[in-house]
Amino acid sequence: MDISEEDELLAFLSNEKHKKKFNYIVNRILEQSFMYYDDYEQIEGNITCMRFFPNGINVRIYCKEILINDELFCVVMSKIAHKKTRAIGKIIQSKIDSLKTLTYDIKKEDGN
Amino acid sequence: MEIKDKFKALFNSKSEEELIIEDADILKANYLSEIERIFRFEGINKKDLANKIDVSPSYLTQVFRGDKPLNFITIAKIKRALNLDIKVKVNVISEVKVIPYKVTSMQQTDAVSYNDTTKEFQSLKLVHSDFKVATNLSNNEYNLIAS
Repeated sequence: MDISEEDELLAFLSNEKHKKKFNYIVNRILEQSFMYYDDYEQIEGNITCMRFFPNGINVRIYCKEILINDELFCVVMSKIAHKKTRAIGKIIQSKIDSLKTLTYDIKKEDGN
Repeated sequence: MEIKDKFKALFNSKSEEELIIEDADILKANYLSEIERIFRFEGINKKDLANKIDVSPSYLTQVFRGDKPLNFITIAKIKRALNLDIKVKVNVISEVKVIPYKVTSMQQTDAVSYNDTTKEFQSLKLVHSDFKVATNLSNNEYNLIAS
């Protein structure tokens, strides 16, 4: 999880309905990594999107996929966006653009 | 409280009933992921598949999104419609290994100002698969069974 959006992401995921959907999406990603489907779509390259829709919500969590040492597949939740229309608006586009320039480095914790 | 603790607090305090529901969702996801992989490979979309098994496209979409339950009658219909060979493999879970990892982020264009965003992330769990579903097209010359 990107700490710059930590509060908003955790607040969103604390909702029971959202949490259930999140679990479902994550389980599918982990079962078959690099498998894209309705609620987990590839935007471009390693930038992906978890779709929380419909049931009264229309939220996207934009993510970056990382493969570590060719063995550990990670999906970093980076940006959250509340969509109002089908089209990608300026605010959401700017979040995606900023994600393109971000790199995440994942390392084993020392002493483990 | 650190981010990993907040995340754990959200997702690790599950009741037995919640864990069972989550397991059921995983089982369902195993079938759906395999089926989805095959029909995408075959160039079939969900609308075509819905027509083949005589259900509405919106129902099928909701099933694949996890919003509607999946029953074995629907799986059997899909199996017959797509001429699938579905295999199920069950193993006893031997070990659950927890690997602690850290995530650091860095803006490529402005590395210095983002260096201080290094924070500890959640521990990532490597869980041995306990229930695998492999789908193959019957009489297909390609080996499509996932390992």
